[in-house]
Amino acid sequence: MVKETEPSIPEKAFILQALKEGYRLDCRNKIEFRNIEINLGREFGHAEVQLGSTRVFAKVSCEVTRPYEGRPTEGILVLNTEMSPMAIPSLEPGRPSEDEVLASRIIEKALKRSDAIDTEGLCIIAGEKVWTIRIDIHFLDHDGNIVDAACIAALTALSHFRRPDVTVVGTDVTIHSLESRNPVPLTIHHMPICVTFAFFDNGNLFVVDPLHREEQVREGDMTLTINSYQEICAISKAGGIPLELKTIVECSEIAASKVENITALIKAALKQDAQKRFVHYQI
Amino acid sequence: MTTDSIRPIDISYSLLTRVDGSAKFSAGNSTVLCSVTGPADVRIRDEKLDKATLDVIVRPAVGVAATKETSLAYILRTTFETVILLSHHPRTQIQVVAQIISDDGSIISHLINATTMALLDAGVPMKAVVVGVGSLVDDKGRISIDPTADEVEKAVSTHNFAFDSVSLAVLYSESTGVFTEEQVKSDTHDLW
Repeated sequence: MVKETEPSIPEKAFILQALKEGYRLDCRNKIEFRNIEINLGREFGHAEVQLGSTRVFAKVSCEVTRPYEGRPTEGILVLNTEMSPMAIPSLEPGRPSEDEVLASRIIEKALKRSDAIDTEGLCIIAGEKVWTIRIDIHFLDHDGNIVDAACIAALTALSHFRRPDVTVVGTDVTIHSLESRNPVPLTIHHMPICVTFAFFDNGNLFVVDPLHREEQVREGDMTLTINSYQEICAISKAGGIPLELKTIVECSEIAASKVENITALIKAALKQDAQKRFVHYQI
Repeated sequence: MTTDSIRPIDISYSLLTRVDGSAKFSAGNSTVLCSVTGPADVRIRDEKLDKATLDVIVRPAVGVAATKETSLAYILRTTFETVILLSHHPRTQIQVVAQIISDDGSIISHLINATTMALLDAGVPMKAVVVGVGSLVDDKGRISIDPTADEVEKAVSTHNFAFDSVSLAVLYSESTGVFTEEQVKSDTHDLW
């Protein structure tokens, strides 16, 4: 149990003063993301994302289950996020911190409530059998802005995932193994991507993609979830300082432009992986 | 197919920023990421007056930690407790978190290897370096080491070992299935 170290008063003053003069701890521009690196695994639905030194790993898996009573024709999407002392050494295992619960809710809103994944396509026999898609998000290293990193990891893993093909004859269901038949990708309607802002100095100053140190001295934060069609899917602002309307509009414009870059990065990573698999298949 | 060598190994060090030591160990499609924090503060109820407390957490890639992970954590803890010089840091805690990234057989041996690397990276004093190896005996009585998940399915018996680099003694050994005394002896001897 390592105690979490709060930044000292001079350190706080330094970060704030530097921000006022337009500098950040890692020499970034205020509206610049850290370097995003996406690695896909050999298995389907396996993505590791590095956002600077923040590291998140997402794994998608599936199984056949009974649908919910009220929604007999819809598949189920389950999201599980877990933070361990690997990411935050001060964390007590088994007891989720407030930050973690909040992060988990934001990601859930982004992926489930915005209907990003087509759940009706996951139905095998109405009222009897549907696919349950499970997304496990593991936070490996926390250097600020875990929400954005987790969102990118989850979306990449979902796009990379392939479920086994099924044939239904009457009520007989055959699940074909990944080797015997080409597995099927999930239907993804749109990619809602989170962009997090941190606010300082009564809302006069804000930065994109805050570092852990910046998160510790921030006065408020806001996460905008936007897709590549420039549609806002969710805005999460849990407390903190009140923001002016024009700040929010300004933030959403910045976020929209970031989302475009991030979507392109995800698509490039997926394309590269597909090419690698194709070459491997040919050999 | 029998193999007498481990799958291609890939190791990276010091990947994580907020822990004292970390390592990623992969052999073929089995990958484990391990982190070590300590010696650090210990919870009062875990405090030992004469030595450090070793806490091990194993986390699965899919789902939440259950009985299997608790048992893996127990194996890791008891294996490493004898090797780490815990008495050098009384009343502290050394925490090991092992995250399974993908499991394609012989996961326990890779957990052991990743933990050794992370402990070395963290600079935790140890008597020796621990190395884990998994192996199996197939229906024709052939021994192969570092089996994949598919190979394990078809095995008659599986044997996992951990050795200490100084005395070359067996620190941990676990066998399942049907096997003879000679097979284990020759298996242990081969791996050693």
